Amino acid sequence: MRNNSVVLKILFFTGVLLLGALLFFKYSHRGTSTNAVEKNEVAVSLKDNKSEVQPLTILSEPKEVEKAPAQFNSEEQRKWGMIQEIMKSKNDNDPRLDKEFRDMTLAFHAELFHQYQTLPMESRNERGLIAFLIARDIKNSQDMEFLKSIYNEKPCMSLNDCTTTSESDPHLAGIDQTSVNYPQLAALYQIEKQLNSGNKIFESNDFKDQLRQVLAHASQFPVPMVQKKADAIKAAHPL
Amino acid sequence: MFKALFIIGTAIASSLAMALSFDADVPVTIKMQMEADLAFIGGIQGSGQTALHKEVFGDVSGITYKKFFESHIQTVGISYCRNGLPVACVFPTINENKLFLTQNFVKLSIPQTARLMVIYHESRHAEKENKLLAKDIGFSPNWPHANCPIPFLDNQGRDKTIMKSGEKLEGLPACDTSAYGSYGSSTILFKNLSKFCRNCSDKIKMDADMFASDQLSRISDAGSLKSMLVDFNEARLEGYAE
Repeated sequence: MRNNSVVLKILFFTGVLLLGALLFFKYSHRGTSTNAVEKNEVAVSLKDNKSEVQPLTILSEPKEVEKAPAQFNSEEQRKWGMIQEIMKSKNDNDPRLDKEFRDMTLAFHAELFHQYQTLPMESRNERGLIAFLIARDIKNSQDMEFLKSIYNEKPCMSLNDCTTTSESDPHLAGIDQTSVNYPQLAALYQIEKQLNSGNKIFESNDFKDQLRQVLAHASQFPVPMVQKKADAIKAAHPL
Repeated sequence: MFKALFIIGTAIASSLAMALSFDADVPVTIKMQMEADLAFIGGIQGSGQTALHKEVFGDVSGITYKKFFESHIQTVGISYCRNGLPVACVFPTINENKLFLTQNFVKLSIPQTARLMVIYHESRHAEKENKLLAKDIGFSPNWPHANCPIPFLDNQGRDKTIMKSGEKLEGLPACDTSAYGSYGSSTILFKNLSKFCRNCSDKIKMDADMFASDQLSRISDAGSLKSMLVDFNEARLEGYAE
């Protein structure tokens, strides 16, 4: 009887150890898989409507990884490589986003403006990430000009091709709609957060005036969900 | 003794591996992205939750979300869904516990939160509760959507439309009257992430709020909408007296 109890205990602890080892293997493997999404073309067999093999083009990846500008110092170069890696990984929960990109240099800001302009319009998450980073780290009037320029863009009509309208699935169209307007919304959400947290930069009359202009442009952006957000910020924070 | 250990080890490994299986023809990029997204949500740590979240999911935690997902979806396949438009779908009449992903899951540049929102929205449709008969199923499977009211207006009196096509949402099966359907439950999940996630980045928390607000706009019943806003402590912001 006692022997059976000892054997059962051994089996139980061995099982727990095995479970721990398997979980470790499983999650450490998953952790590396995020960065491994690198193939641009994959043969996909589609069930249901189509059975032919079709090439899969990843629209969201920048065609070329932006090289670090030569004038960057070593710290900026390191961070530039990091932000390119994060964009490519599609991991929006990368802790480096909050640890490394809260207080960026002016040169880094300028390079982000440039990358925003060179990314395809359809790179909504990447363009939105840049808008988010700049709006979270507003330093000067160039940042405000950049934010204003986001609302001077033509609205993106479709995630596949920003220039065309097409058939839509009403069921989940809202998620598409939020995604196509993501850069415009991300900037507004961050501006709202800065105002709610009492960012001192907006105490200056110059910045107040520039912020008024950004919000005025956002209110004119011809998409109701963007207008609504801009109007809500203006109503909550009279400038 | 070694034989017993081997059997136990194999059984544990099988139970883990079987938690979610992918069809052989799911492209590796899609499988890896799905696994990465699930690993992220499965690792969430929370610091509280609203009453509706407690009721539908439990605590804000990765364990809760993993358990919810795995109790709804066992298999992942690849499909064209509805004309290749969404990133994911379910066909409960064919297989209640199978989620289909489309090429759009990795092809389109959308935030990680948007992908997860579709997955959890569709998972709710994979639930047996509130099941429709097969003959009734069009675009509205389990936890069927309600037709949006006619007219369906925003708070400034403008028609709510689908931006891509310009089509009005009024009369389309793209609303929920309940807080517990696919639009409501995904709103509850992501509003709670935005408020209570302890290990989410600023971007994830911002996105969770942003995409939840969109899903919330599909709640067409004023009473359900108000109860949700009260639950999120946002009723006053939207002009409701609490």
